[in-house]
Amino acid sequence: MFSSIFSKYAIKSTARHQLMAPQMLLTTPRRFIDLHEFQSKFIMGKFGINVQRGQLAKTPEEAAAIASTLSNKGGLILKAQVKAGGRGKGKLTSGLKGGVQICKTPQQIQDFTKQMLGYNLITHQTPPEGLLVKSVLVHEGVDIDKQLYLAILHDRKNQGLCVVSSVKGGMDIEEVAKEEPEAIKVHTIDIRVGLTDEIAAKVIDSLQLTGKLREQGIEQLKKLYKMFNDLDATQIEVNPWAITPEKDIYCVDAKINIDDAALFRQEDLAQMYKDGAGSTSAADYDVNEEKAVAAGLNYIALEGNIGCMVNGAGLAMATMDIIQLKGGKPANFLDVGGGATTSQVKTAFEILSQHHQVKAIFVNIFGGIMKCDTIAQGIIDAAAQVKIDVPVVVRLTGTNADKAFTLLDEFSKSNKSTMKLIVNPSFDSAAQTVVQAAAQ
Amino acid sequence: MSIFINSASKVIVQGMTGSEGTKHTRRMLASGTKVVGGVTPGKGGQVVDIDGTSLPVFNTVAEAMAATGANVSVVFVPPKFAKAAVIDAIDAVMPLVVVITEGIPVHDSASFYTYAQTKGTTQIIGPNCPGLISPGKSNVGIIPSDITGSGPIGLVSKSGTLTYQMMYELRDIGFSTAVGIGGDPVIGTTHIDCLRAFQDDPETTAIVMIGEIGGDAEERAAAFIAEYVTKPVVGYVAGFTAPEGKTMGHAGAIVSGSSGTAQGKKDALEAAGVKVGQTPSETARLLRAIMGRQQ
Repeated sequence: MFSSIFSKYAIKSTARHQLMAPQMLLTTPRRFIDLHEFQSKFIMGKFGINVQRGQLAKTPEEAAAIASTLSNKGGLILKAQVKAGGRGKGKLTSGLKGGVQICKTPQQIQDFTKQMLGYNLITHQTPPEGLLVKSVLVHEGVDIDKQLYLAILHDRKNQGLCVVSSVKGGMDIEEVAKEEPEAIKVHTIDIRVGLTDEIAAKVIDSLQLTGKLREQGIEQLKKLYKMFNDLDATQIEVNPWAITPEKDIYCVDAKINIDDAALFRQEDLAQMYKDGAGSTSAADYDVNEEKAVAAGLNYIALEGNIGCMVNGAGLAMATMDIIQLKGGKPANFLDVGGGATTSQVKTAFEILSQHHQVKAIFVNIFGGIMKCDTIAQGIIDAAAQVKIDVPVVVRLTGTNADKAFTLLDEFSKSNKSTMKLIVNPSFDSAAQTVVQAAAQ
Repeated sequence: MSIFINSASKVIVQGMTGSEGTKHTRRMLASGTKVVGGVTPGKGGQVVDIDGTSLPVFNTVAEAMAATGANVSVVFVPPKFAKAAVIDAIDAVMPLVVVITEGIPVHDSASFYTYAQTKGTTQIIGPNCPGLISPGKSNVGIIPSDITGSGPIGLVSKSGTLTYQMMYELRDIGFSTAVGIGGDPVIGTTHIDCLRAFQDDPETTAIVMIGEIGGDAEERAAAFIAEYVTKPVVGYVAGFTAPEGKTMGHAGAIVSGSSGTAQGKKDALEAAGVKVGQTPSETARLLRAIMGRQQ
């Protein structure tokens, strides 16, 4: 029997640099809402899904008061609320080891909370200085007899939905897929008919649940499916889906991804996301990423030294690839989109020039709807207000490219800026030029 | 010939009276597309003048089709109303619906896609795509019409600007049709649908396929090419340097059986006999070599 070992299961609240960044790249403009654990648990509770009872506290006294209302039979769990994984193994700047504590009494909860609130929690997913803990979650532990795995997600292959189930819960499911693929079952759902009784029963039977647990499993699965649809989720992953000695089934840890394109009809979630972001340290977010989001730009900071400004996610990725191929390293992904204004271009330039590692900037634009002279004017406006002391290589092709070159040429000759501007209409040779410029 | 559209295509614009719709109707007309009207619920009966062309506005797609004989619809309706607009087109038995709108919730796309599958009478391209162009014949969407002219190359791509870049690289040869299928998790027309159409199109003699990291569409396309396509295909995949991470989450990778990485896609395409370029220009060079065309 596994007893109250939830400290291992810090909710996978997707540190941005671990999961969100590549997601953004993959699906172009989509971001996923990133919720705190207490928010996920609260939402699941509202849908009638079994989660451990508990509440959020902002003071040690409040934490103790919450603990005194809970059953300590399976232990009392205290978790620092920051949006990062690896909290159990993390370290607080107060000296406390572990952002997740298993306690027996409200007094213990209060003591540990004192060592969490107001301090930074450092885990392998946080910035080196850690993230400020502004609140803690206090909830009941439950004893676990058996751990299962369950996920509901969009299935690209069948352009529908599927449920993934496994009796091998509580561990990395990709490892299970490698070691024991037969332990994972994928059930396709036709969204026109939804999750039928027949499929629900098939899923639960694949998890070898019988009697009372079989009924509860079917009922809980249906609630999870309803939540998936009602919340515009793109994925819900429950791991472990845990069975207690009393034969109840609990979502002990869950990762919920919400489609941000649906926020216009998910007002509660939008608000929750806003609140959640507010309780996270600013250090969680790259300042430039915040600025980019505010300006409607799609920006991700990377490790290299060549700043990139490109229109379109595909061309932006191709630009990063070609820089690497020529021996350079991109400092970022930045897609200014299809209809950028001069002010957006100016902001993009500010962001790039503030990136301290940047040794050269590469502007790569294929003008379609986007006019090349708009980009050129944005560069000129930026140069007037921001000191840009690294070489800027500009490659422009397409709509109004000639106009753009004239503007840039006049600007270079006017001595209004000390900016070193290199114009090159060829994608390949411009990339070569910028890599050389950055190496100097 | 061309695929999906031709010089006889009669196009209606859903959302024509909105700013995006108006802007792109103007561009489509300027590139010679036969735009015959627009649909905006509640604005039926109005007439919009766009650069000297009077276009009637209808409340529904069915009315627009009855009055104009339109056989293609292009959708510029905002995300909130896009699902209803596409369903309206499917109910009207519109043969081809090109959804340009970006930011449609995946649940909505999945819903109208499966609805179209059930009816079996409407092909959807997109959403979140630049549309398609058969240069000199018809231009449905937002692809610039002045990059290149008509020719023997067929192109299918997830990405908009990479489509433009590749058309530019091969502008001296020209294209039968270039299709931007979009990169959303749920899309109406896939790489495979386009590859099949290009294989069956007598005017197309060579095919360029552009992919991106994420999903497993390229891997499935590779299997399809090995089985069905006899015309030469060259490929390009963007995203080799994208930051590492769980691209689709654990469960997603398990369901697709694919890592979703650029390298995985390149390997799959090469195993199917597709030459894959490391850059857009190298891809263009590979195609030239196959076609025996000097630059």
